[in-house]
Amino acid sequence: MNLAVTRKHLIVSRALALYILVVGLKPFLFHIQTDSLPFLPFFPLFDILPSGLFSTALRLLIFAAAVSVFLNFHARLGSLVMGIATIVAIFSSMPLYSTSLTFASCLLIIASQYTDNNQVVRWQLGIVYLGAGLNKLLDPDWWNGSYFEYFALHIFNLPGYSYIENLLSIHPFFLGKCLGVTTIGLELLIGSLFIAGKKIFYPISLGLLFHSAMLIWTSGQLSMIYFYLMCAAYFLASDHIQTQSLTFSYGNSTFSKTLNRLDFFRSINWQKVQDDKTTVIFNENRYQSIAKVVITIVNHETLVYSFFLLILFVLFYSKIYHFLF
Amino acid sequence: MKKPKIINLIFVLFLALQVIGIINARFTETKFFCWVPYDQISSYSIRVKINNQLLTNSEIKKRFRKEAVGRENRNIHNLIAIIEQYEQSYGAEDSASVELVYITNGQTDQHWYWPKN
Repeated sequence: MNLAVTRKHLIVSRALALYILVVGLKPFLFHIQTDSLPFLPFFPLFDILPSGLFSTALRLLIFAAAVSVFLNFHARLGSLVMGIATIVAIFSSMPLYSTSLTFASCLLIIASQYTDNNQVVRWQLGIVYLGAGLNKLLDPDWWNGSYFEYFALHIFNLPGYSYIENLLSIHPFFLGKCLGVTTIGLELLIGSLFIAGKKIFYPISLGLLFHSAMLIWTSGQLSMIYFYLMCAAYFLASDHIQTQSLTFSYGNSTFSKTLNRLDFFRSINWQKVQDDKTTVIFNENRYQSIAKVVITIVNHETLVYSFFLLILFVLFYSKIYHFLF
Repeated sequence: MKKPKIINLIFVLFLALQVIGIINARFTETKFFCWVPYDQISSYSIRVKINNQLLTNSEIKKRFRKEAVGRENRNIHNLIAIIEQYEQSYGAEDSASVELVYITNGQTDQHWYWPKN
């Protein structure tokens, strides 16, 4: 398997594992006294299991899998175990269920078997969008405008909604109807393009546009996590974005040796050489001195990781901000 | 790299189960495992009475692992299923009475009670 495929799997698995640890399963993983499992399971069979043993085993499994993904030690097995363990956790507790957590676990399972053929990811994305679109298609509230009216005016108090609605006041709920129909159309279109379209570029672009518009319009109040997960899925499905790994050739300098030890995640290929000159190899080019530092910071892989970390940071910053003010 | 046939078969099954989930959701009130985020928005509040004593919001949260007052971004019947299952199983001996008041998509107030009349 080529290195780019392995790097892609690693990036996506780490992004998803991070989401599961700090957002998706956080209450279960860190509130040990209060949030044990099983609790109101989907399948009564789970209630037979001893709660303490089941919860501890599941927590240990998830933490061990996360460590293996982060340290790139049997990372594919790690993402498979983490995906399955998360699904088991969801099955064992109805209140734990969320679409985003289920999606993250499905994606981890798919990522664990990821090769340069992205067909399964495309089908997974297609099913998610078609499922969402179909449900809205059959719900009258999405056609008569009442969903968006309530969503925009009473829940999120969206700027400009009333103003535009007044401008278009031909029919009551006209704007709500337009937005409802547009959302249904877009979700069905994106889903179909993922499954049947030839070029992956179009559904990914449309999806990014759709989720970004939602985020901007609601000032980041809605769909931040969904945007994060979709970006991970798009990255896995995409043919265009490739990451080349960074090779760090280092000699006897203490600085390079320290850097090597600090790379816990083994994100860089380390090559020990005889001479003292430290060189960074990226895209078959060699970089030294200041260029070496720059390329280490701005190479594709670092940028992709930074992107996911930035979204999580914004998510937590907004939570802290709302808590304080 | 070519995947072994068995893995392909597992993935076909894995995706087929999700399609079944979507179809099944057409025939059930609850919407679990059918990829419907934000299909409806409900504002709700839960009141629980045990032996004529009202539970506090934190006691309600501990009971159902759901906020006593909040917003449900998925189908409200998912929340009803959680309350119903709790009262039929872990909480059956409490003989609690539960009232759930909710507004879905801005329509009129709806009330759901446990035990069902």
